[in-house]
Amino acid sequence: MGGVWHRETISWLIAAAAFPAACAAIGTFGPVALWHMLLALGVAIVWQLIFLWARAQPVSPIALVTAISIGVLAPGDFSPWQIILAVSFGAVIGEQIFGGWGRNIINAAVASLAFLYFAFPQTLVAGGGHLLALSVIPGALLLVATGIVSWQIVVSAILGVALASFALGQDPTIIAAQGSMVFGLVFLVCDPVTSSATRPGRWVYGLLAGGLLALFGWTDTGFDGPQAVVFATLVASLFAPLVDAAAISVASRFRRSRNG
Amino acid sequence: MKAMRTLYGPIIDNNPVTLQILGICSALAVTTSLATATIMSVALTAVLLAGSVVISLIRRHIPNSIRLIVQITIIASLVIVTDQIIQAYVFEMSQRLSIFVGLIVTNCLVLGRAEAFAMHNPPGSSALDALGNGLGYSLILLIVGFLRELFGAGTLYGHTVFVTVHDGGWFVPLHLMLLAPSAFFILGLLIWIIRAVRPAQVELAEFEIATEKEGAAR
Repeated sequence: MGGVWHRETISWLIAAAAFPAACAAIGTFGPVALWHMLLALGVAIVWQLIFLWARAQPVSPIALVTAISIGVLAPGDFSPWQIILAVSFGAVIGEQIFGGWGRNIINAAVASLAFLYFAFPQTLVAGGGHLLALSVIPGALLLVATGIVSWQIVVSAILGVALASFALGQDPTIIAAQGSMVFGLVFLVCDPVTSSATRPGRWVYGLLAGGLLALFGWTDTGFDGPQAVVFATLVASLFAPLVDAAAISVASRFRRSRNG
Repeated sequence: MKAMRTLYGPIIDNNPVTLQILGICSALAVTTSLATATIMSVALTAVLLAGSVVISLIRRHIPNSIRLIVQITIIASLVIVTDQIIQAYVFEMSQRLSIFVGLIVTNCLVLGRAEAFAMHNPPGSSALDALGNGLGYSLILLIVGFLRELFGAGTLYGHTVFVTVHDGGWFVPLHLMLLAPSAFFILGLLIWIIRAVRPAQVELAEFEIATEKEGAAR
């Protein structure tokens, strides 16, 4: 392993980028966000250690990002065992089972949050306002500048949100003011592991994720809570490998027909 | 000894659901409560047993070119009889199971045993094989149904085990358990446990991810 750019550098950078948003979430939602972050961090670390022991999978500071995402996107009246159950589900089924962070198909935080929203639909979760939305910006710029987050996904996801909103006759700027949507767009939709990896695939993936976000938000869950972005990411990241495979097969067919 | 292996083999070692991944559709659909899972298990085992014996009895008289049609006809007739019996004696269950008893016809498990075993073996061992597979299917259905009803509603066979918050108790039902994905999760975890205990069941990997060293060497 040579150089600076290995797996842990990237996860430390994502964690650093999420830090301002974590502070803003604690400021907006109060101690409940911090409590959920610490609890989720503890559970994620325990599962990483169990898999380190059982399968020799290296631990990763990505647990910090998972924990921050859960603190920011699940500020509700959950009891500790509900958070422990959901994070265990997300960390094991979403990430560790595939061989740890970097080999997973869905983001561990997305799996945990989807579990929370589906298993305990009676618990209300708040969305977060302008402050949270603004606090995401510096982290997003850092991630795009270092190339960890691809700008193609950011642009195409925003495009997807705008197009789907116009198609439904709604105003997309309302979504931009929702902290949970902006946070989810940067840290869940643009997750470098679970998003598409080919260039045309990234455009399709971003459009799909953005379009689904707007569709879910306007027609079903609303934008008061964070559900729309989590469900959109869940569906889009399941399609990401298919999108990539299609992009590669189209490119290789095109190359073959041109070069014989 | 061989007869006993025919009977016990499919229960864990060669389980139709967890090893052959057959009959998943009904395992998702009817396991929201233990009662429906039980009725479904009994119905499927009965159809499988009767179907295998009948097909095995006439196996030398079935023309090879139309054997699937004959098998399906026999299985479908048995399913209709089973469905009528359920409607006659446990009508309320029949309403809850809706279409899924009828869909036993399309359950790969039934046709699979008829085609793979009953067509080539005498009625005695066909009956044991069918019973073993039926019990293997039932075991998985009952485990999934047990977990889903207990954690989804706090009840077992409709009797309260955990008093829910709604009724003034402490138990918060996991709504997710009543949705179809939870059956997939439970099945997946069951398969994981079985294959951890019996590594012989693990399939070969179709694609190995290269380690960093191998990647650099390429």
